[in-house]
Amino acid sequence: MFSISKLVTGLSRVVHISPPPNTLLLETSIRLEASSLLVPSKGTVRYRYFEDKPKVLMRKYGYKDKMDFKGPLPRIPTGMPLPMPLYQPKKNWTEKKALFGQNDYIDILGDQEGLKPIMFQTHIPQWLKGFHGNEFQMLIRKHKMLGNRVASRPQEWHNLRKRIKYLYRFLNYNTKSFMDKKVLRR
Amino acid sequence: MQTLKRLSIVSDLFGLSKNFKDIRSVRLYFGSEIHPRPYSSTQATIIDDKTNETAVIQDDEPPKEAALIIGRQLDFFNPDLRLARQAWVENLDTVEERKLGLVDLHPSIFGAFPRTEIISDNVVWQNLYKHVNWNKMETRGERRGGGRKPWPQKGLGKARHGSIRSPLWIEGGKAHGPRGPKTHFYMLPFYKRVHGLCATLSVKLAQDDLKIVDTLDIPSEDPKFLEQLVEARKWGISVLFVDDSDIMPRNIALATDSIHHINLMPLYGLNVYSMLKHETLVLTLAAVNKLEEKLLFHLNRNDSMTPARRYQNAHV
Repeated sequence: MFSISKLVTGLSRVVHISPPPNTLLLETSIRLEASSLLVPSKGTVRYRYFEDKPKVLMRKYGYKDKMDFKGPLPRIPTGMPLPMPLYQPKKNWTEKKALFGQNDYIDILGDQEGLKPIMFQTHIPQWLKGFHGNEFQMLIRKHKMLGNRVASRPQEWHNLRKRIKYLYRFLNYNTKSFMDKKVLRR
Repeated sequence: MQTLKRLSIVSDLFGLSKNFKDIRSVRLYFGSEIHPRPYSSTQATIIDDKTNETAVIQDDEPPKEAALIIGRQLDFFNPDLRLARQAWVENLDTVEERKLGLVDLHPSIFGAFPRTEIISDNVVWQNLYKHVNWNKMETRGERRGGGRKPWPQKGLGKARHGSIRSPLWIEGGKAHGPRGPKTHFYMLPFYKRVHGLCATLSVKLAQDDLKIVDTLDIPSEDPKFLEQLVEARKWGISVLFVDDSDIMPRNIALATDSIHHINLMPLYGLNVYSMLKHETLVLTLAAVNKLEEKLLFHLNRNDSMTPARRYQNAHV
């Protein structure tokens, strides 16, 4: 066995040259002097220029789009918090929620006579406990039950009297009856 | 045979749970160790195995252990007209379940027809009757300022106005806004509420969510004991323990303090909303006695205008 480099004259060392891209290569044979050995080599036939074209046409070269289109919302990592409170799920077993409705059947199941469930609703003010009515009825009730507040809350009392006077005139002179549409809307 | 036939029809109609047992043939199975326990309820009877007449075991072999709690005295009850419901009495001492006996439950309370519209009305009432809507918007008379005419009527070329607090102006009063605290108070008819309780208890029993326990005494105050117990017995995630008094034993009070979905309640606090919110309802035997006493009194009293019978039908 003898090396090929000795056969190919004029070359001191073997240089490997990669063929240009997108070239159609054809295998050719070079006949050497010293032997009848066929060494196949590749030569260019033609250059496929269309392969170098970009598959997607690039527009606005060098332009950086500040909107990042990944995901449902813009996510720009600026490090600042979003202008929205962090989601916290509702706590369904706080004491208030867990024991909601606790004494609602105390008149049925309780030991003491004369107990009513509305007595245990401490979040309702005195003049609204066990009451259901329209604004006019509510204001009259407040006026008669909280008369001792006149001196300590003069502005509130003044407004209350004004409102009662206005509602009396409106409901009695401007509406047909207490079941009028204008009343029910209130 | 007739009672057996009636039993099968009733259980088919209402889809009763596996808690229901045939009164005629009761096979009582108990664990390997049963320790005698003092039981202080007035109505339960502690019967020896030898003098037991209600539990008829049709097997040839005698039972392994003696039943501690069998039978209960049911008032206002005619066994020929209606069939009593039954439930196991369990213990709370150990994580593993041990049956201490089988007790009868009154059918008017625990076998009432589950009228869902009545249960719904009760829940809606519980939510609404104590709700107050505090929304209020000031009218032009209540807003500060606005007494003076801002500019003369004519001559300026501006629109004519009488006050800076009219509803047309920014920061003016609201003409037809919400006015003052609005209450939604109303009382549901008394016997509708009574039947609401009965229907919910019946639903709980029929769906295997009602457990009867002898007392609420547990061995340790560690919440893990209760969690393991609830896990082992496949009780719901949330449990409501009901006792007849409002002073609870120390251990269970400390254990349930840290677990928010396991709650304690006295009998007078029992209500439809809580029974539906908590998956499992656990009643002590004393609570069951008192509950029956109260509800049966109301269902059978003859001094009211609206008889309780109106809500006991299967339909409106």
